Amino acid sequence: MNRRLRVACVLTIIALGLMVWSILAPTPLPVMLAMTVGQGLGTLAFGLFVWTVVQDLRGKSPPP
Amino acid sequence: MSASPLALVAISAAGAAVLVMVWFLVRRPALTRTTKVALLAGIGILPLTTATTGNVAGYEAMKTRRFCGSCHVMTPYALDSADLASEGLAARHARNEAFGDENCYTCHSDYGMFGTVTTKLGGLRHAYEYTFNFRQLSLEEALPKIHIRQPFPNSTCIRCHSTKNPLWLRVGDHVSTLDEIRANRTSCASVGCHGAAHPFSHAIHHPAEVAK
Ligand code: HEC
Ligand code: HEC
Repeated sequence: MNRRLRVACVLTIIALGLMVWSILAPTPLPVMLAMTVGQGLGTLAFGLFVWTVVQDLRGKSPPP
Repeated sequence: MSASPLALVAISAAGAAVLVMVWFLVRRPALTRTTKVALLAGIGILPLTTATTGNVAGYEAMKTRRFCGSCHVMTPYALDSADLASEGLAARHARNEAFGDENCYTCHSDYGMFGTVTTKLGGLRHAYEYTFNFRQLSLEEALPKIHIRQPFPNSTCIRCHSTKNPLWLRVGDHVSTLDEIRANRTSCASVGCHGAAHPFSHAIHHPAEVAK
């Protein structure tokens, strides 16, 4: 579970790197990468986070 | 590089998010409520802030002539617009403060309800075409192959030049072609009227006319 979160962290860092690059150097390649790959990875990472937290909360609630 | 407030917000949010990420990766804390809240900020809220402000900054950057001119096949267009001596129609729209630095986008974007979206999709197609079909070509090889996809609509000119001012309506050629202009049958930017918009490319596309 924590492994998945670490993956999400690394993905987020890559995504942020792409986005910041596009802001510092607004030329076609970085801007396109940020708005496609960057935002894709960011969304994926957030998905992993939500999935993990939901699983965690379910695990903690008493069995029916 | 843009030092706009938006860019600052985007970069600060990214910096804060990275701090959270590094903390989590290095300290490997247990998944307590505090950890979850920190991660919600680090993976969710802060990156989302970077993405949205970065998006706006990106859209702004994409409107500039510098951006359009940064693919090598567009450099002659950008150079012509930057040339104060040029009498091409595009260049004559490149000197005003209102939109001179964004003149390519100003003429070459769709207006209307979904204008921004269709223009962005068109831009994506351009990026695709460039990456896979034009990147390897030299300027000499590429220029003859670059054409406007749909005839340039007069409505774009009319957005700014209303065709309703008395002085404008006193120009003989405007009067005699008014219906055709408004119906888009005669292009404002045709040679003999106010074209060519890009004289150098016109010379390449229509060598016969120039030889005359
Ligand atoms: C005043 C409006 C105007 C501006 C500003 C303008 N264009 Fe154009 N552009 C036109 C028109 C009109 C055509 C169609 C030309 C034709 O049909 O012969 C055109 C055609 C083109 C074409 C298709 C190939 C060609 O040469 O016909 C490209 C590429 C192009 N423009 C790029 C640019 C770039 C890059 C800039 C900014 C440096 C720019 N344009 C600025 C009006 C404009
Ligand atoms: C976004 C508004 C805008 C659009 C779109 C636009 N123009 Fe203009 N046009 C201007 C402005 C502003 C000027 C004055 C520029 C200056 O003085 O630097 C101008 C100037 C001109 C001039 C006079 C140039 C000169 O040398 O004095 C002509 C002719 C002209 N436009 C034709 C056109 C045609 C044809 C189109 C469509 C292909 C067009 N314009 C599209 C705003 C626009």
